[in-house]
Amino acid sequence: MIDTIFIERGVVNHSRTQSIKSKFKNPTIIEVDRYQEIFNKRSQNFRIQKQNPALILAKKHDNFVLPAPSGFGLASTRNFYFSHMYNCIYDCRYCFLQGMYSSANYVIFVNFEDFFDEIEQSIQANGAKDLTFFSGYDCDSLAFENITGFAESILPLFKSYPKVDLEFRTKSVQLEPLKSGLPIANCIVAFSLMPEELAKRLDKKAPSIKRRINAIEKLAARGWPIGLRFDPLIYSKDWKQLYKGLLMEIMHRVPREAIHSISHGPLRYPKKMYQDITKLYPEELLFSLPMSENNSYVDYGVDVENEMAEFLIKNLKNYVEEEKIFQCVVQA
Amino acid sequence: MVSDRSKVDVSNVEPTVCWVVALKSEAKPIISYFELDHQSGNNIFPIYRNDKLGHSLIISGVGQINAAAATTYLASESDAPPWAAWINLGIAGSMDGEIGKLYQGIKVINPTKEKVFFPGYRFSKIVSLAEIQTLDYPAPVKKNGVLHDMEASGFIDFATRFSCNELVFSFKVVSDNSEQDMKLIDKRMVNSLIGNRLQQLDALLDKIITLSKLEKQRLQIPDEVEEVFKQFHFSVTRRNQLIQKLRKWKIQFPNRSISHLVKEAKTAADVIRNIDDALTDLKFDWT
Repeated sequence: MIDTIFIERGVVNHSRTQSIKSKFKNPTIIEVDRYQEIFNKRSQNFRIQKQNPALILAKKHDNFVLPAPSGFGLASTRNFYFSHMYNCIYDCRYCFLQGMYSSANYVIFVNFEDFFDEIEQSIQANGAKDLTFFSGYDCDSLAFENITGFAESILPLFKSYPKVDLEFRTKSVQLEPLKSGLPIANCIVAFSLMPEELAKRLDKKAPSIKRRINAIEKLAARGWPIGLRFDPLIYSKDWKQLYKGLLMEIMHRVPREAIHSISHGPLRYPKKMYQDITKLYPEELLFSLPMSENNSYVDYGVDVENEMAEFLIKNLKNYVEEEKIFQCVVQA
Repeated sequence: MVSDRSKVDVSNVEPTVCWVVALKSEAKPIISYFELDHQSGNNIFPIYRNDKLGHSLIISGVGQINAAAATTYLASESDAPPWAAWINLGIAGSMDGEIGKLYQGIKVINPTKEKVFFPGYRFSKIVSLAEIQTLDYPAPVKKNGVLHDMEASGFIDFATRFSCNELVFSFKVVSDNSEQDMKLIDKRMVNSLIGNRLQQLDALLDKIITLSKLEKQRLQIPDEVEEVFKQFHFSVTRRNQLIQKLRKWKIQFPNRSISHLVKEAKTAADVIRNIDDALTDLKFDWT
């Protein structure tokens, strides 16, 4: 539970600040000038902060919409992302956020309307088609929805642009407002997945795979387009057996018509980020296993990556059309 | 004595808790509680220690510059490891705070130098959280929920160079407020204000020491590394590589030494290569 909320002076009276504040019981409120005063400062310790993150409510001033990093997109010609929140309530051991920020506090930008304005400008500037916008690059899109109401606020915007896709990427089983709302054909709910045995070790504080598949099943039944994200693919001695089991479970439970897209990507870090994360968790089994350094990245090596990708495609081919399967690889 | 301090793990003789306190009257209850001994031969800042419990305390004198200098001095004198917890304890003024109540400063401002800090892991279940303004002179507080002190900012500015931000703490006991003038403060009162908060401080220390141990676990160099360093010449880069690889080795084989891999080596590079080869042969077995 959040015990402290730091609030930028400029948004103290913002209606969304008031609404978010009211969701917590007696938090200590501390005013700050700018969120950068407290977020991501030198000598902060992500690992210790992660044990009790504070909430920071702030205003974002620019760069609301950015081109998606290479390897993050799907079939669209142009991919963009936006982050109304920095950091995540889950603590997945492979997550790049722990190497990107020295702070584990959650930042929420309360000026959603400025995001929406810039998203709309980007849509219009790009012909209002063949575009995908990704939410959930610097956070989980839905995990904090009952606090922020962000998804609920943004859905009407995309409803009016049917040729532009919006992807919520999540591990959350918090299904509102999707479960009670009418599905929107261009709004994809994409779940990150890995075999339960691995998730138990690595997806700390996140819902189990079983619960995620239950959530997918419910949303698919409601008619929401579903994305399956096997990113990162985690290697293990028995990975074929583990992933086969996971795929079988999904294919058995989720009707193929509900699948919008499937993407997969290898475990891969920029060298500096890998060093920072391994320093943070030197006792972590994931980082004690052999990895190779290629160009400026640390990964499993091209042979393992290809073998895993081919295995996945081969096993999914009878489930969905190959055009719906994408490989997401960060390019060196 | 509030509780039995013998329950504290004394296996670690390095100082894990470094106290920086402005006045002797503020320090006395801590010196007595932790049975700290005065270290002779130092006339700049008096230092007290109990190596068994892992506590060091320095009396800084009043003011930010004194607090910063004393913090640096204690770090050097005690050879404090990077997992040491640093605590600034003292009295503070408030407008609306209850006299004798303990607060943890989670935002510390130095209005003169326009500096702001957000120190420490927050212990909101044990202690109230507050904003502290560090001033160069005693002045009455004019804002609710804010404390005035004269050291916290200088202390934090320097303590965060020796440990991570989350292990640096400022705890303040309210000594005066809008209803009780600061002129009434005397040594006996200060001693009593701090002394009355020992039980709460003890509860905080249990948590702080747990965090410090976690950080020690993360940062401590495996003992075996020093042994290997003695046998071969390692450049700085290779030293770091060895530390990193030995940490990986210990995750995979917590009870196995690398002595056989060292024995086969003729140079530092061989040692690293041998460990690397042994690790590369590993299978990704998660079970």
